[in-house]
Amino acid sequence: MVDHVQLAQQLFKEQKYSAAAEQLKLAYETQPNPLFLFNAGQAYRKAMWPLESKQMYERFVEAAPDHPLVPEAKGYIQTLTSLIEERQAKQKVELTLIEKQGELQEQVRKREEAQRALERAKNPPIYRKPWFWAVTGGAVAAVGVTLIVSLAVSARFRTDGPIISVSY
Amino acid sequence: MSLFRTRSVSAALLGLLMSGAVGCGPDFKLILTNIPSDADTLYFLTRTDILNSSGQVVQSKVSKPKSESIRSLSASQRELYSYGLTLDGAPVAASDQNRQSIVSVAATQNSTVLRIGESAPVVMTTQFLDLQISFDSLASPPRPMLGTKNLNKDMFMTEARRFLTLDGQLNGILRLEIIGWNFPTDVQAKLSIPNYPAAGQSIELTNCKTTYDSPSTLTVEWPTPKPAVVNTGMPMQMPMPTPLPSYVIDLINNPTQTALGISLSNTDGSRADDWTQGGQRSM
Repeated sequence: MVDHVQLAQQLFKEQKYSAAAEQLKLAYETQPNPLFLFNAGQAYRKAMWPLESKQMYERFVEAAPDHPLVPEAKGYIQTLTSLIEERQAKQKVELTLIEKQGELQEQVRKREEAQRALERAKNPPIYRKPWFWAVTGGAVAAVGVTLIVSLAVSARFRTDGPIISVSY
Repeated sequence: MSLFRTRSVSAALLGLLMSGAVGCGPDFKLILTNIPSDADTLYFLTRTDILNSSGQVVQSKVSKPKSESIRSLSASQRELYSYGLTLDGAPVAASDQNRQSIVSVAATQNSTVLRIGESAPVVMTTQFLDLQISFDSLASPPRPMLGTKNLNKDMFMTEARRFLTLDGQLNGILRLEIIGWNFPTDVQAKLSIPNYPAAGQSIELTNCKTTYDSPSTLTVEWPTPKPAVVNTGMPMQMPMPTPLPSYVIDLINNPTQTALGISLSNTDGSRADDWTQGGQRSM
């Protein structure tokens, strides 16, 4: 059988605080000593897990309201509550900042897109210009007519014998 | 800038294509029908005139003769055969002028002229024209033997038709229409009646007027002797008609028995041809 308390003490010494806290929680389940909850709160606090630490302290106060460590636990709870609120507020600010940044980037992107669209409208590509299609269409028609004329002329030029050149 | 460049390139391309399509090729499609089956060589000669808006000839130029061997043509090809004909160096008509061409053709076998003649004048209103010549309609010349003559460079008479006409003063004119080949523009004719039996000697017909019509046609006019003026005792002196000399009558009425000597030459004497037509010798 695993001695969770001894293991927790070992892990705590090794500064593996969250693992020590887990062992103390397991120890409480097998042996409901409220001090294990207080120590789990201590270990989570050292691991910088304030939310879990506060919960352990609160469970300890609830389980042993008359214990001499209750004032200290309440002090930790109050401190951790402020810390958690502060972190949440900070996270919210960060989140807002991130959102703002996202909005800003979106605005910049939209502005750039609008600017590009404006530039495209002002100076459309050559294939969107009416004169391009007029010239291209005219050229294609002219080439077609020329080909037809060439074929007709070459058919007219076709002779049985060679071309006789008389010089003046 | 790019618009200008694109349009310029398009215009240049179009111009190139159009010039390639229309600007090249022969001037005539010469369609020949019924080429004599025994002919071995064709000779071509062209005259091109530039006409002004009133139809008057302002410039005229004659090409050098050109020959084409037709030995290899089959009987069916001789029924209908076409050549391209390019007038190289022919005069060019201005915008208000017309260009007119006449194509003379001769079909020969060795040194014998089988058919000879010329097309009607063709006004070249377009770049390329069909010109049909039927050898059936061309003359089989009374003087066919070329002898030592070369149609590529020499002048040669093949036929001379005699006429008697009157000028404006009702004087008799002996007119000779000569058909032949490669007549120079400065050609002059001399006429004579060799060994005229009634006179017992040759008679020279002096003061002939030669008119160059084309490289294959000439007109020679000789004024017959004028009637003598006699005093009739009337207030006015009237010319009395006198009979034409008998040799003139014989030239017209008895052409086969009355020989006519025709001598052609140009100014510098580089081209000449002599022919005694009719009489006992018809060479």
